[in-house]
Amino acid sequence: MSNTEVRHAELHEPGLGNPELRKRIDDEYRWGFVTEIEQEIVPKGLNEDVIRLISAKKAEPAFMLDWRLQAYRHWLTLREPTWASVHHAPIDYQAIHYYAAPKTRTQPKDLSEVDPELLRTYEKLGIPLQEREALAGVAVDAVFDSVSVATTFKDKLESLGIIFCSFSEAVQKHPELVRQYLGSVVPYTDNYFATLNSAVFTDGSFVYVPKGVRCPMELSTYFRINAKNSGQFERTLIIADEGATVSYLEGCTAPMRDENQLHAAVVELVALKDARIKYSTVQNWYPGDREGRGGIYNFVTKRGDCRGDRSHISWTQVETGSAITWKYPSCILRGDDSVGEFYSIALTNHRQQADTGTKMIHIGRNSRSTIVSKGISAGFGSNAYRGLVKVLPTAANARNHTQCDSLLMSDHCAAHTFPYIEVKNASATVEHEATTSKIGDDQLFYLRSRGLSAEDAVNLIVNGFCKEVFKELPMEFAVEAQKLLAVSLEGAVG
Amino acid sequence: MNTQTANRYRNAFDSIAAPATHLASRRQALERFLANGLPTPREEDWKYTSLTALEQAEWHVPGPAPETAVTEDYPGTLLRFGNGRLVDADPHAVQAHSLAAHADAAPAARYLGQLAGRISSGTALAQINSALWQDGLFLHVPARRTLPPLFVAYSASEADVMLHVRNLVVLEAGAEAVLVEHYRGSPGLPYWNNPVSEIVLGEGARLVHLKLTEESATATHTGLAVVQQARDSRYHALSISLGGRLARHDTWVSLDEPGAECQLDGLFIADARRHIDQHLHVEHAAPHTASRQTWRGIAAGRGRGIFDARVVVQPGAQKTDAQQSSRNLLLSPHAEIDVKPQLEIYADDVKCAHGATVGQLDEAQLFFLRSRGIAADAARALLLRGFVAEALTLAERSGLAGWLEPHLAAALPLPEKEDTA
Repeated sequence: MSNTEVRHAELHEPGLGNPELRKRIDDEYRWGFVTEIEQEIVPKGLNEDVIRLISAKKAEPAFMLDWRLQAYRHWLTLREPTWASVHHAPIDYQAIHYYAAPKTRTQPKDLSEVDPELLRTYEKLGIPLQEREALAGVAVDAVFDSVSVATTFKDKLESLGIIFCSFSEAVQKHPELVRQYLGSVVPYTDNYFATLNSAVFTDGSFVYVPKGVRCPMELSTYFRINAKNSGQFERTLIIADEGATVSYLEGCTAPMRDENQLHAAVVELVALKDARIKYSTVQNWYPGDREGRGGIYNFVTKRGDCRGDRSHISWTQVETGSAITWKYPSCILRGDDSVGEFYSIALTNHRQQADTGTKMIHIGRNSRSTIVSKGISAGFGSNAYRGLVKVLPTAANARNHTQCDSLLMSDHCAAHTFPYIEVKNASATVEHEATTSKIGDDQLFYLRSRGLSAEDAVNLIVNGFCKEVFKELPMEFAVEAQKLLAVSLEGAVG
Repeated sequence: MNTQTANRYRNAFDSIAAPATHLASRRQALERFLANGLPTPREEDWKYTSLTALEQAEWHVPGPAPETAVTEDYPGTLLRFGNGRLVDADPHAVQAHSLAAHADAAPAARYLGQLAGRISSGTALAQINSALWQDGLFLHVPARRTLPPLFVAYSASEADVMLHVRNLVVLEAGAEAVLVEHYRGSPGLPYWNNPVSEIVLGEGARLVHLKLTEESATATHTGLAVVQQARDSRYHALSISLGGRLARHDTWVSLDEPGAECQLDGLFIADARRHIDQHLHVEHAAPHTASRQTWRGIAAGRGRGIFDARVVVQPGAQKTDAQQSSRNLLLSPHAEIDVKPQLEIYADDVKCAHGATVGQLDEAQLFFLRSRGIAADAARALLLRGFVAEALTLAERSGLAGWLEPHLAAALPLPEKEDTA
């Protein structure tokens, strides 16, 4: 057989002649385990009583309950959107537990009070929660299903006036900030999933960085979906006051499940004058098995608001997990000279589907935005970039550059590009470029002739393809992301 | 659609003298149209274009075709249609006929309505055309025959009419033709032109298709061309949209067999209060097919230009090569450009790329020209010429540039003067 034939044979019969490859292909989801822990669960289904119960359990002030109920009533008037390039069985919103919290009698004061079972779970995930936290230099607000169980590094942050806590805590301790900013970027009327989130969200993270403060460490949160059939609805709110700087990391792994789980999070970023927010995500929810059974439905609304002059918001995401990803981290560039950035890698293998992209809304003068999107499709995966660049009449000299590249790795996969460009200002410059291609046979041949295995060769090429995005990630995340990409692509190449 | 509007279409349908053979299918098309109504901005393909004004206007079918004098020289054989019906035909145009007269004959009957039924969007406008068409071009080129350039001039000279011209172009295997369509109307006249062209290219056939739209400043133009290509055929199209209050051009090409290639180029100039919407759709349905799109758009005054192009690579269409390029200029503070170049790919061994830009004339280039003593207006005009030139290579290659030139010169906007001190 010629070289080409060999590669083709491996592509279609991946295991033949290479037992190591076969083994790796059949690798099950490495982070698939379930923590046996007593849970407090509200009965399935959604109605006003459930919302009142959630609000009561969290001892929320009246304005929160009103807001939730308003959102719920609005949600009832909405219909689930169907425009995304994804296919899934209908979601039964009445078959979901909207509240699941680990049963703890009192709020833990330090780590020793935390359920050891929980801590072991985090250990398996490699989260530096105890002493390792200092080495890793990361403050972790770990979300276990819906309730934050431990927050570290708090004192250090507190001395600078930085508030980094769970959302429920923020509602109790800083209701004025929550009231001022909650829903100011993503209103409860925004879209079907954001509205649902507004009604039922149980917890999430809250960050406030005061004027002129530069947050000395990367803030981080790890999400896990654990209770069976518990949809998770986090809400994250990050506020950088004038001149403040903060970098926030979000990483997720989820245990293996057979039934699809719904994840409808909302993230709101507010950057005031001269403030800078960097938000990085590595998303590795359970993607479902090879046939597409199970897996997380990830319907997320993320939006940043550059409210002041020279404010800067940057989104970086590595999306390798979830059965369905539906996510468009956006920037509203309101201030003059404000900057929005979006760097994304989305990988779909087996039967995964991703419809992701960004929106850059240019309102302020001299506002600038950069979009770099890398999509990788393998197996039967489907990957779509959907983005909007909108320049309003007020945005004189606005500037955008967009680059979307797709890499195709099987003859059953799909890669789509749906950019929308709307320009209403004659001094704006908008550029969009997109390419789609497969890994060149000549590139593979070159690497293999130097003794690299097919798998290593492909990983090398994929890493090169994604380099522009990796370099935007904080160090520890970049390493994790590269590993994740390699693991996710196992079995996709030959 | 309200009852009153629906009744107007029904009355129009009853008033036209259509051949009895097609009555059933025409009535079916009418009923479908009335059931669906005109597309609204809620449909993704009509996001940027509203037909509310079209829906509210009271259109009627035109009276007998007027005898108008030929006002322009065309460098080839000529067919003239007035208010949707054939007025006169060059005796040399032996392959070109009135569709009304040939609709029942074998080659026309075989294809008529087949292609328009394949498309997935813009169907309502095609349906009302299918119901109400009275005449159009039927061009049938036998195998391996080469046709000299054929010009078809469509003019409108009656107020408030709707013109549903239906064209059918069939090129048998190895045939070659150059077809130029020229749409015009009396200045200031409000009317609605809704032509549908079905184009069938046999194996190895080549068609150069130029469409020049210079409708009156108050007219609405909604045109659809559906093209079906067999093995190794070439479809080279150039659409130049310069007129109308609202113009929408839909082009739908299906590359059905290996070796088929299409090139869809175009230029639109949306000045004054014009709204020009370009929609292209290319289906790569077979391996080894190629498509190219080179578009230039200019929006000035309060004009709005839209470029929406979708390339679909179907499963199994390996070795597809698809390129889209859309460059646009915004020349005034109230103009708007919306661009949507889309790729939808279901195969892996493909080369697909698109590029889109929206910007303005380069100040550095202007400065360079002015520093050489060229006046500001002349320098701008020169740069605009350079900008549009790339989209017009097809006109050069097919020898139509000379004929096109005065039309372009009249339409190219001089950018609003800023400070020229």
